[in-house]
Amino acid sequence: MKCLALIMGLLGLGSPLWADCRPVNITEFREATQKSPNRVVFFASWCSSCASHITADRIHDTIFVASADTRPKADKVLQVYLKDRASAATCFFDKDESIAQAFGVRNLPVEKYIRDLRQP
Amino acid sequence: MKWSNGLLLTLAIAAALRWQPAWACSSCGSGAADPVILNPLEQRKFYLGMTLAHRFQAVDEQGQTRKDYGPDRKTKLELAYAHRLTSALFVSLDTGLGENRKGSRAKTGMTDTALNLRWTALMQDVTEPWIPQVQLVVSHRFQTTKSLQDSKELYNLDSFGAGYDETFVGADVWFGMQPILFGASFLYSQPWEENTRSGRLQMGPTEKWIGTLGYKPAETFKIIGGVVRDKRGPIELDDQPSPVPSDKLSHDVFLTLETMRVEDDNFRLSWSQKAAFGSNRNATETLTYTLAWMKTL
Repeated sequence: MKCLALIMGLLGLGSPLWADCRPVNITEFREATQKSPNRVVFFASWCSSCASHITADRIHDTIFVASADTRPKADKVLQVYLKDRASAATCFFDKDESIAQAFGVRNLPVEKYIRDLRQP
Repeated sequence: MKWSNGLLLTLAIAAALRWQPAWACSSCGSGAADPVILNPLEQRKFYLGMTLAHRFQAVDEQGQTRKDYGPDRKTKLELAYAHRLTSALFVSLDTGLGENRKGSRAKTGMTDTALNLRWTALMQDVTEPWIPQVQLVVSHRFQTTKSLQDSKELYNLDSFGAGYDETFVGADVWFGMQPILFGASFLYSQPWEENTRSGRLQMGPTEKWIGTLGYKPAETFKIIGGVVRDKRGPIELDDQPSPVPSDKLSHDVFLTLETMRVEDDNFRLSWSQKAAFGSNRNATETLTYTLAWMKTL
């Protein structure tokens, strides 16, 4: 099964094997999360306390959002914490910090819910 | 004006008796002259600190502790505001209101004002915890209030500032990704020449080294302690060096407890003792306590 996933990954089929935090702004985030889990966990590579909020058992009910960071570092953090489950996580890279602003996030780690999202 | 023992004593301890930068923050981000630090997601922060300093004892050029000098107690209400300019750069401004007390006599006045710029050259990364955060600091303290040189009150109760402008540059290295935290800061300052009623005063440059060790027992709380080596060059008056050694050396210790609540206000309680250990000269022994409230805006 792992070999099949590896081959599919190499061929660019299915989900990537590695963490992949898609860069979005708040508009794109709203569109992309209409049918997503309700819980949103903000994290960054400079946040040492974020580890306890990024766990494999949360993958199916959580949206992970990296903010005030670089995308390669955000991907790496997710990979380190979630290991081989990282590719299954829903992750966005807050490319202009507009998502953090829309949720009123000013420090990390923090958990929010989609209902906390301020209306445009 | 010629040097006199009284003038030397006054100048030598002037810098020690004035309000010092809040280096107890040394490694909550850094050492320098700025008490308020922004994390990468914070855009603005307000700081309100109350400081009490007492048990002043002057240490002379021989390292001997002399009888107390100046006020018995100095209290200060410090206000600071930090504003992010870019993702890696923020500016802060701090000033305060002080009270000097000797027995039943007391005077209040504004303290000097400082403008600080802090740039994060290297960000910490939890996946590579052995790479430190590196911040560079440039700060300027403006002489905005009366100093010991202008003092007309008994026991210098009307002295609240340094008496000269001073420009600081520094670097702060901080390993903060593990439960055990540690770091070091270096701060160099160049005082500006000032015309005083005694003559043209040039205080010597200072070098401040800060070593810090801390522990984070919980996500929302940290304890930080450290030592400071504070060295200042000799004083010149009308380009004439002092006839006796006027350079300052002080070894200080500090301890800070700080909350790190993510969505609430935070508090910092600091204790420090100046000239606490080792050899000290032209310094001031004093105990200082600070309680600060910080609010992200």
